[in-house]
Amino acid sequence: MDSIVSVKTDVSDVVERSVTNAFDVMFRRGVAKEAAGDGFAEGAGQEISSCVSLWQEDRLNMDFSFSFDRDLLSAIVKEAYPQENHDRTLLCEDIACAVANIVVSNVKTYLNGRGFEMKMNIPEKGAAAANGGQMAYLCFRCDPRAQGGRILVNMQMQDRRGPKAG
Amino acid sequence: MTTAAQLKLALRNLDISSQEAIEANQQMEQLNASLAAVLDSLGQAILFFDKSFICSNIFSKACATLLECSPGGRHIADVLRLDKEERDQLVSLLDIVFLGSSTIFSFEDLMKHAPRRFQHSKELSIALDYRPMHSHSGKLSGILVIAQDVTRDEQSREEIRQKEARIIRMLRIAKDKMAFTQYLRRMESELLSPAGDRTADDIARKIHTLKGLSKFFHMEVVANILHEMESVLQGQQGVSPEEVLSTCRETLAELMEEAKGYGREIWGANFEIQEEVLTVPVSYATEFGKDLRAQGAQGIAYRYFQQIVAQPVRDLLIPFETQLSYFAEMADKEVQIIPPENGNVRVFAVVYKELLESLVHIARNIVDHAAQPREVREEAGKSPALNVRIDVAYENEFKHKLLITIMDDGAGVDIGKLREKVEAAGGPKDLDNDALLQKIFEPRISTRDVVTATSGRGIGLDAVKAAAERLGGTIRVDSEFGQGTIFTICLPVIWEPA
Amino acid sequence: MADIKISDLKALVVDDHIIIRRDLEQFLKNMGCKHIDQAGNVNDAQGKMSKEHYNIIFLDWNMPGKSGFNLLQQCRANKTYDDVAFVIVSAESDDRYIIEALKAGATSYIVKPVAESTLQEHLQKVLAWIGKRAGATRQTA
Repeated sequence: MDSIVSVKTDVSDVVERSVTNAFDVMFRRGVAKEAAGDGFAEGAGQEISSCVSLWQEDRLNMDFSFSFDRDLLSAIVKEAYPQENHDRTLLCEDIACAVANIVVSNVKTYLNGRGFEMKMNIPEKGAAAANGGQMAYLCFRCDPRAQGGRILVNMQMQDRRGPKAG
Repeated sequence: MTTAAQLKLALRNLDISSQEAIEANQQMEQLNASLAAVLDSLGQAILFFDKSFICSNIFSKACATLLECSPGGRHIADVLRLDKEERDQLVSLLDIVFLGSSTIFSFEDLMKHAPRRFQHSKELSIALDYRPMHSHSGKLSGILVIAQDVTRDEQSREEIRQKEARIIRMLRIAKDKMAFTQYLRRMESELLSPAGDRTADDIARKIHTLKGLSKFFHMEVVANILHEMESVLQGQQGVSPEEVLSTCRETLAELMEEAKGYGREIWGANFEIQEEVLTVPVSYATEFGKDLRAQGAQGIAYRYFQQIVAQPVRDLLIPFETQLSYFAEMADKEVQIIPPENGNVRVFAVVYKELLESLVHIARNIVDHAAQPREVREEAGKSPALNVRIDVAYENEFKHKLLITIMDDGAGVDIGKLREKVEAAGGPKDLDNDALLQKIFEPRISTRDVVTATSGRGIGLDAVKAAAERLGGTIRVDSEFGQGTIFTICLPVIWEPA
Repeated sequence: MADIKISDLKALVVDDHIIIRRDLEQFLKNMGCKHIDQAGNVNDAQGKMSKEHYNIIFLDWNMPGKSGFNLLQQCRANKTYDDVAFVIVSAESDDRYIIEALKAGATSYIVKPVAESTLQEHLQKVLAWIGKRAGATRQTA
């Protein structure tokens, strides 16, 4: 079994493909990867987040946080669900959770195919707390040519297994 | 009918039916044998199993090698070497498949979730495929399993993928020599040298830029290593930059060497990264020199042309070497080229352009006539590949003339045939061997009976002679049939324009 | 064995995500389905199912509270639902889960995100399945 850090690049690839596919199929929007900056410089209130975790036997841990530009999700809600009478924010959060669900399910399937036995919980709104593990950022931009909103994926990986014995 | 007669009839019927049964059985065995033979001939591992999941005793020979077992009578999960979990999964799946009507999925859709790969003990890639077998009533009665060795396919695909990546990389590098050499130099100065008093932040920033450049040149492995280094330098507090650099230095050095290899392949062995090179159009450089002369600076102009504008003849002969290699490869002949060692003879290249271009005819000539089959060479005590040696030197200490010699140890010129050809073409009949040899520089003289695409028409060598003479030089050939040939081109040394 | 018409279908969509429910509802509407109900969890779904006999039920697997898988198992143990098509719609793409769902009696399985064309293909086949089943259960009745 590989260590979780060694599969970091592959997991990033899976996340990239999954985010791109989800936005293409569900919202018919293009997504392009960007260099990760410093998160949302504008600060709290400008993004909508969701988080979900993968874990194995209480020893391996991966916490995912998804942050979406508020304007991006609002625009999607307005265009795709115009007659929906739920609160717009609620719908945006719903989208955030649905995307997190799809993307991290794909990561789970990928890792379990590589010999892990990860389980996944149900996505919640809000960002994940810092767990002190190794961090990796992925940044995507929606509708890249139109300078659309950003999507940030933060992965925190913790391998709490001790150094290999023998 | 009496009881005895009835009994007799019954016994006879029994005999007949048992005889029929024996015949039917024999036919069945023959059919099985033919079936097995057909399966064997297909070269794939083929077996099948029914609702009981037990494999039939009819299977192809290849099962022994590809599946490393004899599947007859064994459970399919055992044959496919599945662990408990995988076995349960397969059994669940097969239950659904044989049931047939509980889902909307077709046989193919469902079997997508069955094992598609077999774990061979050696490093073979075995792909598994499944086909349905139907009974007369149309129901699924069994499943055919086909195992194929796809190792070669996968290796080929991987090789092709790597080749393509290499080509893309080389194209990107070739587009901008200056940017690439700068990149190599920066990698060396920033990363392969000691950290010194640079802070972790400084180095991390440089690494970030170099990472971008590495990606630009499609040096993915380098980019990944740099990414890791950047994360470590930025993420961990108090880490010593020298420590980070030293862990990666050896790997990076190797990768940079590989990168330099690309440069050498594109721009030649003289690809150096020590100093920047100016690129100036020849016409501009020439005009500038003429200007100097016109303004009365004769001495400076002379040195300028001789040392700056003139180029080493050795470098100018590289196209000839390349052409020779190319023709040899196309003709599937082995040629070993020994390039000129020294000979820093410098000339004003523009003047020699025609002559240098005409050397292609000599290259063709060598590949077509001098190259001999291996056995012939070995019998004559020669090395298997044709040796071609190129030399450049001043004729003497006065340095007014230079000699370009192209020497091969090949077939040499058949002087007898040449004499026949010359006399048949109406040439003089009483030439000595040497004068006769020089006749090959005349048009339409060729000792080749068959005209090939590249050589044989007798055109070509005369172009070299014409070009040499236009420069005020000469060309001659010396040859010994069976031993080899030497072309000697004597040219005046010209290093400034008229 | 008459094929049932889409316009006669009664569909139930069960998923804890509003947007998934809305997407499936819209796709079904586009195909001509007239009766589509929604439920955000298994309890709500069971409530609706007690009042209406649906022909096709779309189920998410992971939901807060009882899982869709649980509901599927329950229903398949009950003969009343023998002619109902259960379509699992889930982000889970692992073979293991798909096989388990099919073994538990799912009629079909669609992996999220669901494209309209994918749903159209599945629905055609599900309609044929429902037709066959309806014929079969009528015979055994």
